[in-house]
Amino acid sequence: MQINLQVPTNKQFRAFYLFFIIVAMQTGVAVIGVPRIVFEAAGHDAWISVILAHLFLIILVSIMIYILRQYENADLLGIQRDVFGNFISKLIGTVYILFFIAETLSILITYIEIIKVFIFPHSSSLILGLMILVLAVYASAGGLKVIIGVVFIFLILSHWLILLLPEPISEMDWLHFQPIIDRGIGDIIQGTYKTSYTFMGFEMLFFLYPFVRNKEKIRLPVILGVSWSAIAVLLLTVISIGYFSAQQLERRVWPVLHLFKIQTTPFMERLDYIVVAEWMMVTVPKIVLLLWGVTYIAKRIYKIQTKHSLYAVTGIILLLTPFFDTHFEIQQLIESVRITGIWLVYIYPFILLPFVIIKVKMRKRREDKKA
Amino acid sequence: MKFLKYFPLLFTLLLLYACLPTMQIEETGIVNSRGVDIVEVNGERMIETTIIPYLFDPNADEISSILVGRAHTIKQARQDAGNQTSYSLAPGQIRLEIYGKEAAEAGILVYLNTLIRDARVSDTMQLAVTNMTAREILETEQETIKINTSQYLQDLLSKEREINTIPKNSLHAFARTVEQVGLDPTLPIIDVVDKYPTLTGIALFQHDRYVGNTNLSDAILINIMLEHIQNAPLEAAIPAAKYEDLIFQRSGEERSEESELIYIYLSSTRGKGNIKIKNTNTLHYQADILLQAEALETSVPMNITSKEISEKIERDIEEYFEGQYESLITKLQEVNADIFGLGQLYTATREGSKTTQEEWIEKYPQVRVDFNVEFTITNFGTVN
Repeated sequence: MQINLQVPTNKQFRAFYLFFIIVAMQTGVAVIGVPRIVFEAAGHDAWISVILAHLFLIILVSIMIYILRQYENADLLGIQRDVFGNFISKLIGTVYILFFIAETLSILITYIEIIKVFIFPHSSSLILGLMILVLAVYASAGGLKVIIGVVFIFLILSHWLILLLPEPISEMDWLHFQPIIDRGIGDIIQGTYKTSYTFMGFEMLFFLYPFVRNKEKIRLPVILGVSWSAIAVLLLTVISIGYFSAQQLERRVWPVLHLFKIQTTPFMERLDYIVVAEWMMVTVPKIVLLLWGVTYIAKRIYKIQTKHSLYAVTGIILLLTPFFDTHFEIQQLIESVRITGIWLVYIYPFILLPFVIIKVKMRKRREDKKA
Repeated sequence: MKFLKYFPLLFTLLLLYACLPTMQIEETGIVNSRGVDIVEVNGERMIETTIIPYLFDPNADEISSILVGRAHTIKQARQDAGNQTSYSLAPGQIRLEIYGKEAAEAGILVYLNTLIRDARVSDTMQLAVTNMTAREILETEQETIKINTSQYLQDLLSKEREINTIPKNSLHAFARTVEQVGLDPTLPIIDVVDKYPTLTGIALFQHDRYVGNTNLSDAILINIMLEHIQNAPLEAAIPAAKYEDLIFQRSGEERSEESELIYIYLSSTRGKGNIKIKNTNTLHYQADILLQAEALETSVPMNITSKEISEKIERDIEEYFEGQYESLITKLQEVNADIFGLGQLYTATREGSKTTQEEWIEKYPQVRVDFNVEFTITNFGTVN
């Protein structure tokens, strides 16, 4: 396994598209439930938690970009190999594969649960999963450029949902926010910690970096992408706090969908059905990107052909879907993905950083001595 | 080869159909209004639900007929009612739920929970209570209303909601208020008057229990406080003695002695209220109400010729509304229903942010509110 990758020009993409990739990775199905999760921890000061999470994310992606810039054209696997050696790099790579598979599974089953609760209670998980996965595999098999195209189009097609928000905004009660900072700082930090599952996804930057053509311009789209998803979550949290009473928000599993439940139009009485269906546009890009991540790492460390790993992994995910059919099993899976993610996505870059700095300094000294 | 390429796509099309049970509309009874009562059966308290389903089947004798079911849970009661009909009942279109007096007094949160839990029930559905049993109301509706039977009660309520004469009665609005500390909900009351189901007033709730009621003119006053109103009809009374010289009299006609008050019919063009907390220790509130209206009718013909007179009338109307508000708040405090959300204002301050529902119920009767109405007559129609 090489440290630096040689990527042919026709497989590269421009840094600008990282914005869409980051947003698609971060705004998954978890956005639907995040206002409640943050509210449970931080009460009506939940919006402060989201802002803190945003600041933390900016610091984190800056560190990730700093680590990546120390190398010519390396991804996380190459950097790990350079810092920790071949074995550990493969080990952590394998953990990443399992993590991505678990994350894909958690997204898929959450979305299927939502469909079942809201629209079709008697539908089969297996068939719903198959329908979504066929789409995702179809897009993933096309390679990175097709994936980015899908992500770009789906993201634009799903953002019209913002236009439906003015109605719940008009029903908001600003008294729900008072008094500001009533809960302790501890609760607010706890709320920030709880956003971790939702905001996961920017770790894909570690693997996509070698494919970016103009690497010097990477910082702006990445930070904009992170901010876009943070602002979206902030907006939904603020609306949810104002729109629901505290007791309501604590008990709604998917508060964001309830925001759309009061909307009616002359030709369509229940817009929330449309929103549930439309949420597939939010779910599929993330699944597609995660599947790409799995196949990419498998190819890098085990030299498995993309097609083989893609079909094998989707097959496994599909077969696992029917086993997670009760609400608390799904919640448990999400919780374990969240805990793994905190270590892998949020803490690992901080651990990697000093090693990379030392390694780079040592190399420089060696080169200086040679000279 | 080409076919093989597209085969997976065609295959998924087949799956699209395969995973869902079908429902034929002719075999379905759409439940769009439902009544909930508590009844005693053999000494056991049970939920009784009354349903008027809407049938699409062209062969059905009547488009809708009444079904009654009893059970311990509301969903089971619906199943029980379903046993009386050959159509499968679909509850997704339920637009109105009426609670009988006994059920409402015992608390309706349990019935709401099932509606909220079921994602297929719309949040915009309306709720109402009756001082009789819900079954009686629906039966009367069925007997007396000939046009659009199953829609009648919904239309009766949504018409009033459109001109803001009654506070919000949607499932979402009620569910949001009911569990909030220091804010109690209201619901419209439908009773049978002269053999017809009629909107008679609004029910005042404490938490989820029906504790008292008030008339429709108070409902408008409440609504001015809760949301901005427009086009709502108002009636005010001013003392006749002050306007002796303005009253338009035909020569030779004696004015009747008993009319000590002049009633003015107003159509509000703007109305909003704002309550502020003045002192958190003594629980002293200040409510400012801004009202603008057209004066469209006076019970006695009057000549309003100058600005001074118009302003004099305005001051008297202000006094009238202040009096109305004061008796309203006394009534609310008597039944201990915090419709204006005074407690919510209190919990939004740092001193009161930890107040619980029980603590507020104890504090609420001691609350003092100063009402200050600012009234403007925009015009008097085409006649001075």
